[in-house]
Parts: sequence; structure tokens; C-alpha cells
Amino acid sequence: MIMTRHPRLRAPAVMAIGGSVIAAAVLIGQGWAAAVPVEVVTIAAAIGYYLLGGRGGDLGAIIGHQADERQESIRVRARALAAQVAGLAALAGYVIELARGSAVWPFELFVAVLAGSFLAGLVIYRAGGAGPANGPDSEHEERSHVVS
Amino acid sequence: MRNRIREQRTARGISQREVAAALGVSRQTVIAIENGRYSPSLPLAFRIAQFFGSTVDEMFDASEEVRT
Repeated sequence: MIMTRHPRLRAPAVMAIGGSVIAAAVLIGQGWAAAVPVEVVTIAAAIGYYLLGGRGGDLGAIIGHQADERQESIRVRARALAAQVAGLAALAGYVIELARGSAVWPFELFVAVLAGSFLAGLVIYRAGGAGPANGPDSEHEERSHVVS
Repeated sequence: MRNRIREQRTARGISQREVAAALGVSRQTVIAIENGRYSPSLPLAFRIAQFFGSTVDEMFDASEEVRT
């Protein structure tokens, strides 16, 4: 409810929750001394993101989740680039760890999730593309082709 | 894509901010469309045409690319 009324809060909230989960993991694994700085950085980043979201211009609109269609396309392309770079980095890490003889399963998992989500995206977003060839309009389309 | 938005807008004495508010987009997007750096979606193109009391055909010319 708050997120839909205040879209500017969305990204900082996600960042704060994600960072707090990481801080909790650090707390469990390494104790308070290591977890507190993680949480401080998380809160600072969330506040920074909130402030950026209030600024004018494309960046403010994108971060503040108030983007129009052009800014939305910029966001999508930026995300695609980030995913490509993350995939390449995981692949590089995989090759390096493979050469060192270390455990490579985290990289395998990351690459598998990346490839799986890409394939899922193809399946999901294909639904928004061309309709089935034998749909109710196909007969009309065929006639149109004959006429033209 | 070449368009007549700036021409129509200045003829009516409307600011980019006002056009942006009426179309529900940012001023940066209006600037990008006017300069031919961004081709709007079909729904937005129709909204633009409607706003200026014109047609998409009259507002946009796909045959002419803007030279930058």
C-alpha cells in the first residue's frame, strides 16, 4: 500500500531489506562487529537512493519509480547491460576457479539461474508478441493477404 | 523520426513543461521526441496527435530521418 502510494520508497525499501538480510547473515556467521558496518552502509545507501529518487531528470525518475516510457526503456536497457556484465563476470569467475581447482558450484549456480531466467523471460514475454497463427483472426488475415 | 511537435507547440505558445504535463511524460522526454532522439510508442504518438488536434500522420513523418 505504502509502496504504491509512494513509489519513491520502493527502491530504498528493497535496498534496506536486502541489505538487512545480508547484515543478518553476516551477524550469524561473523558476529556483531562485522554486521553493524554492513547495516550502516545499507541504511546510508537506502537514504542516498531515496534522495536521488527525488531529484529531477531521468535518473531521479528511474530510481524514484516514476519513469515514463522513454525512461522505462532506459531502465530496461541498463538492467539488461547489468545482467550481461554479471553473467560475464560469473563466467570469468567460473573459469578462474576452475583453473585454480577450487569449488566452482557457486558460479555454476549463478550461471544456471541467469540462463534459466533468460529462457523463462523468452517464454513469458513471447506471450505479449504475435498471436497464434490459427487464432480467430487468421482467416481474416489470410483474406487480407489475398486482397492485397 | 522527424516530427512537427516543436513547430505546433511554438505556434500555440505552449511550453515543453506544459506539453509534458498534458501527455503524462517528463520534459526530458518531450525534448528527446522534439529532437528526434526518441520515437514515442504508438499510444503516446496518438496522445500527442490528440493533444495538438491533429493526426499521427500529420505529426510524424517516418520517411524523414532527423540528421544529427
